Amino acid sequence: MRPKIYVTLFNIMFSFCILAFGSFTIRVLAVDGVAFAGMLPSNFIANQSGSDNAPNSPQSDLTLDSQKAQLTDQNLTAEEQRIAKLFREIRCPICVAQSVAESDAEASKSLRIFIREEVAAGKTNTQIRSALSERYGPSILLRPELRTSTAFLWLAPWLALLTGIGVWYWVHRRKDQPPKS
Amino acid sequence: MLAEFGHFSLALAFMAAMVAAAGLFVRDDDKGVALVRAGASAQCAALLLTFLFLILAFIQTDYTVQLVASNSHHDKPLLYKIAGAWGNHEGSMLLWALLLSVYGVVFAHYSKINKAQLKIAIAVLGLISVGTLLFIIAASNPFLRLDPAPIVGRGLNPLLQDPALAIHPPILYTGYVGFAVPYAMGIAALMRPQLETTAHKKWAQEMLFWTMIPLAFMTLGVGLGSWWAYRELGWGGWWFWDPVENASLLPWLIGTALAHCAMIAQRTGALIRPILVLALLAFSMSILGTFLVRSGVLTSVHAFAVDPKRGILIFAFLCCVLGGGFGLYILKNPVKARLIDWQTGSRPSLMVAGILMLSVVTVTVFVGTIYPLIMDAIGAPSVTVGGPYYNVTATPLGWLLVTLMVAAPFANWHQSLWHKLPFNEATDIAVKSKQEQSINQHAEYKTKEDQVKANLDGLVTSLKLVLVPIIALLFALLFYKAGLGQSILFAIAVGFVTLVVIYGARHTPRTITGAAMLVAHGGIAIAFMGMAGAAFFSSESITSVQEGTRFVSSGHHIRFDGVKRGEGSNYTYERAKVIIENANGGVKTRMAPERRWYSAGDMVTSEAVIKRNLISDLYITLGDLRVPGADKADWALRVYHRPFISWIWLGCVMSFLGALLSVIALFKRKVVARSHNYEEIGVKEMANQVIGKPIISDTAMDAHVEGTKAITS
Repeated sequence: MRPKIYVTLFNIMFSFCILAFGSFTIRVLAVDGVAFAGMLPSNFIANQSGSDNAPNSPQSDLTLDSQKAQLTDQNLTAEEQRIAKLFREIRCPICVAQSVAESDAEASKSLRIFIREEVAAGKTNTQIRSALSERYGPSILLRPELRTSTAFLWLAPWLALLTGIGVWYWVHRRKDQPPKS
Repeated sequence: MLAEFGHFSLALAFMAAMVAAAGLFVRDDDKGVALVRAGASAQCAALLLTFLFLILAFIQTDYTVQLVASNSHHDKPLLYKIAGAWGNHEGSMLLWALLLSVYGVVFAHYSKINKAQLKIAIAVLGLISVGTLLFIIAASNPFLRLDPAPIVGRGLNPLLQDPALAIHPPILYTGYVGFAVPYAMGIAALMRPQLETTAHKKWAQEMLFWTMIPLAFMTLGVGLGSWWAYRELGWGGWWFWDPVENASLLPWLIGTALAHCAMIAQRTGALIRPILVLALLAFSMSILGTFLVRSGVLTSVHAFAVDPKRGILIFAFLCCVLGGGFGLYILKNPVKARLIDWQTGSRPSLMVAGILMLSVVTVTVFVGTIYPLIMDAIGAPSVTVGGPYYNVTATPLGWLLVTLMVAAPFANWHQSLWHKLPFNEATDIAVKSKQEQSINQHAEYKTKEDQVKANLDGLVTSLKLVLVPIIALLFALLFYKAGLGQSILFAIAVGFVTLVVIYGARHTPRTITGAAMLVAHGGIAIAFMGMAGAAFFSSESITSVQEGTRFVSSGHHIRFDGVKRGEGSNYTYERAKVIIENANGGVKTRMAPERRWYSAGDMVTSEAVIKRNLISDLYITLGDLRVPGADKADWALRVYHRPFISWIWLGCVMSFLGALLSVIALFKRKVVARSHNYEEIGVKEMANQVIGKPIISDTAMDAHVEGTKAITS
């Protein structure tokens, strides 16, 4: 007989994958998605781990200053994480597909300072996003807001997924029927 | 004169393509096939000449040719002069046509589909060539003269002056254009339908062969493009969800779905209709990519020239390809859906799930890519669809897809994966067929092959013994460095690789096909691990520095030693001296990020330097002078820490090699099929020749059984 250790290994790994995949999806879809749809306060994630640290000096546009450079995302304060995330969601006004976090342009620098100031002033992500969207037009947001005009954009993947699942069931349902000769 | 020769041979190629396309209207006999073959060969020869003339014009830097004047410069290095021939709109379209004709010739001489279909397919390829060449001659002729000739050229976009970019277009185009062959085969199958299952299987095998080739190059091309973006654009990112990148991802996704569909079909003869649809779609996506890149609807480094006429022409071409293909499909849908006893959770069932998931990802990326364009076109408020959108939509689907990719190879062809679960082991043994038991007995025999197998098993065991502690160590390190959640997610990504390598190596048949599957899937798993690692553990900092500033970024002690100015071959530069120190102040590495100013075209680029090793990249770019004119200059230095990122390209290359292996395996089968007529030899010998003996695995036995069924039914 072949050893079955691989089978066991596989089972453990596979169940692990399914579990983790589930939690990952739920995190991304539920927390982000719901916060995004406006049902949760958008700084929900940031607020989870208490963000009453002193706000950073808004004069600097630098993403992270050198005192804080001992970093992976964990070592940052929740506020810094929130700012970094916001930077990545706002498009540089004069570039094509670059976010404010990636761009070296003057316009991005001033936007970075603006976002820092707004965060220091206690604005929520949604408020900051909509302020920017009013000033520069909705195309400043790299993740478009859910509006009637973008409804299809947000629905399309899930429609496709549902169709896919439907087709899969359709394919497998047919084995119950006697084959036509 | 050279340009005129080129012009002339271009016209000649057009005539030859017309001859090949005329094959649609001649009779299905040997003469017809000979005619289209001759047309395809002549076209390829003429286009090779044309392209040679274009390259010569670029090497000579002949400014009387408009294309050279506006895209080249005499002080460029020779490599970039040659690469300049396809680093622009006209030249790249010519390359497109050239590669199409090369595919046409190879297909015309090495394809094993029946005569009638072969004739139609070559003629369809000819027709596509006619369209392309007409477009080149009418709207983007590379040989137009310029009078008076300028004294200096405008030069190549400095961002494109990079070795990766010199070979990127040919490789990517080999992928893009190659999907024309499955398209032509699909049209041929629609016009000259075959009804027998055996014929379907043979056809599907051909389809797999001709899909695998472009798919392999597509994998490499997409990888190269992202490698270039990572090194050259200086943002420390490797994928930007730029519409042009998406345009290259779409054919890859569809092509992958098509290849897996064909794999099922070559064993069962089912799924012919999905293959047809996917084949038609794959090439349409290629054209769509060309349209997006070349029409000027997008602004990017790829949009060389903005000319509305070109956009309209390519769009019309796209409509013809899509409309023609699907019109024919709707009118003459020749194949009835075949009923297969799908066991839920068996390998074909999981593969179908994977194919569907690939399609869902394709839809997501497609909608995200064209949505802003449509919004612009209808005058609605413009939107930007960027990385954060795809992170929410495409990324979870990617996890699901990779889970399926890992799970499917473990499932038997006829039996659900469910039976492999431990609490189902009793049932598993009970249902185990006598065949499989006899296979196990067979494996005990001390033949030479068994010896090899035993050696392989030993290798796998020792691999396991080495790998497991290493991975455990890695986890411990990661756990120490990063948080729990991310470590767990990364552990899963690592688990995927271990699974594919260890378990997969143990259970897949020792054939080229099995090895190809392992290498290709392993590559994707490694790339996926790189993506996950880069996404979870990346960090970055911008620091304002002066000469002599010391700072610490992601554990690296960095000293900035000022900036030197100088001149390169066709640019001037500002080169920073950055020194990575040990904790006690000794020099570990020196790095020299640059900012370059190219006088031709007045462009500033940022040259990042990357210190790479297998575990992580340290990526430094020099920003601008923050206080110009001050006594001590103040520079912005961006330091990016990118763990595991090189695994992405490692995986891409591995996947490319896997796909090539699969092409070799399929080619071997074609050769076997050529030397023996399929129907005349015994099934067992055929199975042995095709799959390699002895039959030791259930996969091989499945194929054997399938083959028997096919012949007897």
